[in-house]
Amino acid sequence: MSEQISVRQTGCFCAISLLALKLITLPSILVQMSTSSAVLVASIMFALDLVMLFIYLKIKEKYPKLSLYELIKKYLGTVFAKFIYIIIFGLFIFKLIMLNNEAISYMRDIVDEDFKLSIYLMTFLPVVIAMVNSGLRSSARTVEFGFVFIFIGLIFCLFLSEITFTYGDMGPIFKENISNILSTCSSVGFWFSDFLFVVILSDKIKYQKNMKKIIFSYVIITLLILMALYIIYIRLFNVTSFLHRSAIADITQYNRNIGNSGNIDIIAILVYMFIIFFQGSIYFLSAKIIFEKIVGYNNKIHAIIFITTCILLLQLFVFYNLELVIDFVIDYLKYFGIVAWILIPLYCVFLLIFDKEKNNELFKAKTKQN
Amino acid sequence: MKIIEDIKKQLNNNPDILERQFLIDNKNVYLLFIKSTIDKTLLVHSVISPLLDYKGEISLNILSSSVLRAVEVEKITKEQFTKCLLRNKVLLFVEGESGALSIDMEFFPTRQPAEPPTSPTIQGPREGFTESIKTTIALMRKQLPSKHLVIKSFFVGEMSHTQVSMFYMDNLADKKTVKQLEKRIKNINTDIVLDPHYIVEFIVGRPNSLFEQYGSAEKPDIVTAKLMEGRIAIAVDGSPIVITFPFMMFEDIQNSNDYYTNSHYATFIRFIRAFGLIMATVIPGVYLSLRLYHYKVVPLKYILTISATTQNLPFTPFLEMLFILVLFQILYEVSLRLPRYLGIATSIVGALVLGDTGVQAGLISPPGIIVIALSLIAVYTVPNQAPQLNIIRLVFLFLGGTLGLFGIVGGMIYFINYINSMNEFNTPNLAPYAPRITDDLKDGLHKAPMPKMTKRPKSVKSIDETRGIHNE
Repeated sequence: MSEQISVRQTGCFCAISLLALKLITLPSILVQMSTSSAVLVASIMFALDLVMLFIYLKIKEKYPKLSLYELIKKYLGTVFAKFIYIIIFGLFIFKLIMLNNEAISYMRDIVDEDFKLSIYLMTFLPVVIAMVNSGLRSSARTVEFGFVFIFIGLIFCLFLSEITFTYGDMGPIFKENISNILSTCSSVGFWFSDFLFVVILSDKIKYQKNMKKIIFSYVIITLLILMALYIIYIRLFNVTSFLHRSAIADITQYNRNIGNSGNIDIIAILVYMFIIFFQGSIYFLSAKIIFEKIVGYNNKIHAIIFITTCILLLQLFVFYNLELVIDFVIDYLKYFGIVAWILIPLYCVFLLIFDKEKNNELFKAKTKQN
Repeated sequence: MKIIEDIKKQLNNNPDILERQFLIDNKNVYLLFIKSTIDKTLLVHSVISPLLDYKGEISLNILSSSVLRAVEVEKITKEQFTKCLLRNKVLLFVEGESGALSIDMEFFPTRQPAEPPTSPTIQGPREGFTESIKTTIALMRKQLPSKHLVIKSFFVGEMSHTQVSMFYMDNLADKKTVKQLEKRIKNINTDIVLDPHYIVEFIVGRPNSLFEQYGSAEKPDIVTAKLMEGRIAIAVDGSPIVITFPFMMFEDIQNSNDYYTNSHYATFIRFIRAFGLIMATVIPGVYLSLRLYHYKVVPLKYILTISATTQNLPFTPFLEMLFILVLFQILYEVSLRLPRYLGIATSIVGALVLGDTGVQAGLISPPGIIVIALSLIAVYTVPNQAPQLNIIRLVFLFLGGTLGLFGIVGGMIYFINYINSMNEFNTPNLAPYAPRITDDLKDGLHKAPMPKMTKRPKSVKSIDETRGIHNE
């Protein structure tokens, strides 16, 4: 039987995914694109993410032993399933590139201005590859172990930041017109829809009756912390928010209440560093599983070599700085992303409503196999 | 007697192999034994005197059942003669019979059970195992007078034939794990076994691993507590150390003292140990990375203090830390090996001459010494982990000096993941935290009062998960 992860570990994966690409540049991009409606845009996108997560978990409940690949293959055939998986593979690689660039930018802004891409890759890749190589179960355990520290760290960041807050400080939420809000939503879609991995790893998650409750409790708590950080960030920097590209560090660094006691942003730095490695391993693991489905055989080494080569080539020669990635994502990637955040959820809804053959041949075969 | 001559010849006619001959009922009776390993007084009282006093018909069966006053007498065949003699038995031959009697008269100078130096207790049992496996078995029997206690013995080592005993509770220990361990012990192929550490690398799944994959104890109360959790213990004749399987990292953060004190204090002290463990490994690396790359996060007053003491040093910060670390490690090693009366002199040379003079001469900085000393002392909050922590500290020092904080975090995740990937006997190494096992959290970093610990740890596979009266 293949390695499986627990529901609690899936909850940790979801919580980390919720945080990874949203703590650094996203808040400033949201403010830049929709000014005071940034919180509204974030709320809409988070709500959509929650709906998607709900759909994916329903799919897991209905087909506990099947992954997205088998579900697509069921009605649309192998070729289409592989085509969809190639697009999703590209998305995960881009998410990795975005994560890397955000991390490097953050390091240069906050930690060490001479921080080099080579140093980053020399540290990031071996650790993430070691995690992927050790398997899904030990990676999930590592994330579960570290999640406690991340969670405590985030709470610290929240309390060490500006906590005197009044609604009036936020400014009018509906200052922007609705079309601008929707356009921002479509442009920043790449930073969201992170729960796609749930349906990709679906067959590797142990089925448990109250899984929705457990996973949603992790997600909702993390989401509340994240929203609180967003609100504090916007409250602190308001119209100048777009200048602060390292949201999580800046809200503790520029604290007015306890800023005199020293630079307490070390907590934010450590929290974010842990998140980088954990999220990197989640993306890498998902990309590995997708790769194996595309090529049709399971070979860890081949998958790792291919993904690492893709990352290195794109990172070193094409997307070597954050602005390049952000421009590419906002201008082009949103069209490809439609597969991830519109087509797949819609297909899942279709399966939930119309697919009555729960005990079809494919399902039976896979269940027997496991 | 030819067979006796043959045995003596096989054993190189060593002078301590002694033969005694008696004539009883017109038949020759021979005793053969290694004189240095038997209790001579007991031999006289239990074997020689009854033989000399006996006037009736002579045969091995009659001697065994009616004459000898020994506790352990066994009839053996020709093939077993040498083996039994080497296991310190007295062999008794009767002329005209092909077999012999093997009589247990073993006697070695052994020390009395005393408090082991590695696990002292403030309020709790002080009895420790000794080098004799007989004492180990006796102490375990005393601690655990249960019908469920199973003791299996094996003889390992082509030359040494060392007795290795396995202890477990048949109503608790996972049968699959027991079988696996038995198989691994039987498959050990080595010349000599002097200590459990000689066989442990044959037993564990990853012999090259930096991290421990077995628990160890020198006290019967600790081993008994582990057996009652469904674990399996292995003792080796000649060593007071007993190793246990399966193992989890958090066992080393627990201490037998925790169970003989207030549970709140035990919890507090476990957190201190966990903090000590982190300090021992990463503090020098973190200090180095803050000094080299991330000085912005250090409050201004500290930066001024550090820069004032380090500005004229001839070494780079990395070399300075490495130098202090190696220096302290040498001093530590010397203090372990030197005779006790020389220890004071070493301390004076180490602390005063090398440390103080080194600072005054401007070769090393006081913050560097403080950080390394703190790290070295902190290792002993978790003494069982000391060897690997000393190596990991060096790795983190290197990571901090080259890749900064990012490297240290990466290193931490790498090691945590590595520990997680060691799933020896299907037991998660970082349980009850990864994977989180809610019931086991009662005896994790937090220690609940004893009445609340109604379940055995789920992370260790056991047949019966509930502690209590129904088990006996």
